[in-house]
Amino acid sequence: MPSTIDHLRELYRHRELLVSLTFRQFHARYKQSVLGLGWAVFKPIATVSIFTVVFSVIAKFPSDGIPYPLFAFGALLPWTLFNTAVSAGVPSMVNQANLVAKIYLPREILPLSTIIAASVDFVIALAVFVPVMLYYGVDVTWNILWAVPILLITTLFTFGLVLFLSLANVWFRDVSHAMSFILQFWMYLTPIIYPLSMVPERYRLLYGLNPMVGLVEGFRDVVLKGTPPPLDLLGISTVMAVVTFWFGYKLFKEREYQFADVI
Amino acid sequence: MQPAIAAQGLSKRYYLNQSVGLGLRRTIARIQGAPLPERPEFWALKDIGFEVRRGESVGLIGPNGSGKSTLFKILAKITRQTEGRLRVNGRLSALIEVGAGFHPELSGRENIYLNGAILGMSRHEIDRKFDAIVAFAELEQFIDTPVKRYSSGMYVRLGFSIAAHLDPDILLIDEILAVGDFSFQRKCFERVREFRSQDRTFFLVSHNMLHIENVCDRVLYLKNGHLVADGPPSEVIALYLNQQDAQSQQRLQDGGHSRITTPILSDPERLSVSRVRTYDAQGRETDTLMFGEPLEIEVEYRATKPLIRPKIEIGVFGMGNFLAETNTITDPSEIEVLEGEGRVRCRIDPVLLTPGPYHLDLFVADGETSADLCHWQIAGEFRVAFPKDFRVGSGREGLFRFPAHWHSVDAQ
Repeated sequence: MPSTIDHLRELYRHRELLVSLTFRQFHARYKQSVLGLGWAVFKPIATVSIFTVVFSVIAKFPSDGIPYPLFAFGALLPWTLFNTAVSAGVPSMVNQANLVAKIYLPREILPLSTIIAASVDFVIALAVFVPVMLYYGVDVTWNILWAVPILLITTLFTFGLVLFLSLANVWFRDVSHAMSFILQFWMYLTPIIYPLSMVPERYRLLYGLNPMVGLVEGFRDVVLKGTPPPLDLLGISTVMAVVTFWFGYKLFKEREYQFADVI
Repeated sequence: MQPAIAAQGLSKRYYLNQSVGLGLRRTIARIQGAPLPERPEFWALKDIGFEVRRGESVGLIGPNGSGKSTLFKILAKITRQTEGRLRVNGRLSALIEVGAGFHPELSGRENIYLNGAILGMSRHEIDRKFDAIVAFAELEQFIDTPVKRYSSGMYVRLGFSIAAHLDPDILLIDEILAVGDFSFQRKCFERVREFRSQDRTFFLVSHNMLHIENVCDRVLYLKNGHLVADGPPSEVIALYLNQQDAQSQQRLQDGGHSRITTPILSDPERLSVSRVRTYDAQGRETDTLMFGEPLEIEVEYRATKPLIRPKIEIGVFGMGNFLAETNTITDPSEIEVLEGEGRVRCRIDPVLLTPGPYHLDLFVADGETSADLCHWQIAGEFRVAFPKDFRVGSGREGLFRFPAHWHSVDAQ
């Protein structure tokens, strides 16, 4: 039985294919559209503006003293990375059934390429975010370096989850239908439009069982507040990310050979 | 030396019912310890064993549903065998469907890079071969057009051209030499020959026995998931064709139907064709004739209105190919009019087709408007045999023999 290391090695051998498939997705997405890449810039700005109007101007949500647009944007960055990757990744195998049924490739390349494409969107959104930070004069501290491991853990968790769900989706198409709804619900269970401080202290750890809590709040803390991330919550997220990835990848590779027969 | 492919006892089971309901009922039964509800299964392959040496060209033949594609998918690692062992030594590329993995929105150029990567080429390798791929596909002008605007011919040419420039040790191709127009097909064959001369292993699935005979030096014959023959092309192909033929004979004798279809009449009020019969030199109705003897084909019709100077056309097919045709317009014909109920005959003399099964199709068209009145896809079947005293030469037979004569020119 090949080990996870063997699988990763095989994956590495196909790195050029991964790049090509990511490119294909990204490129095809903006072909025959006038704005093209402009959409990747416009979408986060539009979302932040709507959130600001609805949740700050109208609903008057607190934001830990951070200007609300900045507050929402800082959380939407990691959340959108996760959200885009999951919604594109879950149906990725079924959508590319012709590849799965006709050509051999390490199948995790398909969901993985959607995650990388989502990361490119993330980088573009980040490029929009930095000027906004400068505009509001955010005090940047060394704690911002935490952002790197936080994003890596986010990606690891996303990859593991997408592996598991895209696998399930091959057997049960219900998964991709349910996902759009679940992701919406999930967003409200994550401190994006409201601060973590609004959650009563005694529910904090229970609340933190959602791995996105530690990641999103952590990212916002280290980038905007200049404080270290909430280590207890980030710890939970890390453990869950590693377990999800390990379990998802293992299951995926065990079932991989049945995809062509079932899909 | 290690074989390129070694297969032992390969079997593949499919479940016919993959529904969630059945899966749940089985799970519940398993928990309760009750007998499991039956799950209908189907063995697409059963106990297949063979070895392929490096540099061998192997053809894979068999009727539809015999497991050819399943075997290919297992060799290509797309699916996994249920039982048995398989060892593949060397880099293997499989072309199961031309252009699988093309993205319609992307240009030909982008798709070359994408598809090349999917089929296992490195970026550097594609850079190097890019011009050759485009030239082979004859798409220089359209290389920056999205492939969704390509004609189906262009699409297939691009797909095959990419595959033709792969550099694997083992290449699997599923029924795709039949792509493009004649000149493109010829290029594909040249490419395959080149590939063979480089001591690489080649595996071809095809229903076209001529292609198989042309490019393979060994043939595997699959039937109902079993490997029934493995040997030199001429022998295995003959066995396959004979069995196919015997099957249709059997069906005839059982009172069932042979492959003969029913005619498609575009205007049954005007003309109907009821039968096509074949006769030998002695005027006996037969479906077997000897090489070099005449064949008469009779068409029985009913015309409600007289049909003046009709075009009746008969085509001959063999080994999955269209071989020849004859018609009442370009060939000498005495047929002026079809009226009432009657029969017309066409005499072909001599028939120089080599032994094997053949079939006929039939077109009848109005001579004035040239509108088709009848199209009969498989109107008749016959087989050709060599007379007992006929000496067969090299074992390579081709499809027909010329009336040839050899003589010396400047002998002393």
